[in-house]
Amino acid sequence: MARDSVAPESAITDQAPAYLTTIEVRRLVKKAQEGDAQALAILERYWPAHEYWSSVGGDVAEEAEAAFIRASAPDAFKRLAVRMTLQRTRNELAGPNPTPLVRLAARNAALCNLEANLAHNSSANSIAKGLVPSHGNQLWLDRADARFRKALKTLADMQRLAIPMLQVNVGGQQVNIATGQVHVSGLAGPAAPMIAPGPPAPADGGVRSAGRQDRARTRSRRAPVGADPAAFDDDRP
Amino acid sequence: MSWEQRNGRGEYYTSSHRENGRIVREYYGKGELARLAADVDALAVQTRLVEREGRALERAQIAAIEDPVIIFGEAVDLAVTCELLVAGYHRHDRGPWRRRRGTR
Repeated sequence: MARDSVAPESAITDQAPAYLTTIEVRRLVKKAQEGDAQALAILERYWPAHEYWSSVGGDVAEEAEAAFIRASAPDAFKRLAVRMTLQRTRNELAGPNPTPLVRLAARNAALCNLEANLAHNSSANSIAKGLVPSHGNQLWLDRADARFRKALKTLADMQRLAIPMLQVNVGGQQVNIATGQVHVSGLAGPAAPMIAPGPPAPADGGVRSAGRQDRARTRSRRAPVGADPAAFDDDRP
Repeated sequence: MSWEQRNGRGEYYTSSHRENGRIVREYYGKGELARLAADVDALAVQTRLVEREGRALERAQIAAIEDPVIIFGEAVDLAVTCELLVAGYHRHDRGPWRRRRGTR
């Protein structure tokens, strides 16, 4: 029984759950990573990503940042400075038109960056006073650095493996809608709608997800730094 | 480290410490030397206590900064992992995320 798939209770009774709890998600992810197809199917069916990010991810992000700012800055002015730095860093890391997932990963990376800076500063202050940084401080520094590296790697993965864009056919013309247009409350930055005309719509009409070839084509057409963007605007295959 | 009384003949000071895995007790008698040794030992105990409190305070301060970052990081990891699994990616033995064969 222990090796069986994990299913939300509501799935057993054929009722659609309002959401998966964090514990359920964690167990399903573990099973799915071990190759359990049934767990993956349940996850695909019941993973309400945006609801989860807005209710759990957004709240946790707000709480984490608030707690971090409270603990790291002694007065109101410094707290404001930390808040502004966090905001600027996460916007820079997220880049233009980020997906909700990239925005979340960028927010995490910004927080980890600030924590690592704080750990380094604390250690440097001890050295400036002629003291050897404490063992606890050095361990913290190592942990903070490792967390920052991991957060950056997650962010880079998210930016590399962009979730496919949704293609909608409006009046026979295909329109690509970036997932960045979905605004999730509590996540960094306002949602920037991005609607770009795409290639002609398929004959059967309808909605389809952009595949790897479409994304690869987009990447290959990206203008190098310093080049004239107009030169890369043509419709080369 | 204690003042001991044996056979009702006044207190004398002894101090125990570990040496090569064995407990060794040193006897200082009851004179000026004994009082001096007792003071030194008491000071060492106080110093250790203050150092321990300092470390506990530092741990608490670090935890106050670190804990929310850890909790948020775990939530982000879970969301990212879940989203990528649902999107058809998999990861073998902590390697890079790859798209499953046959998925579009």
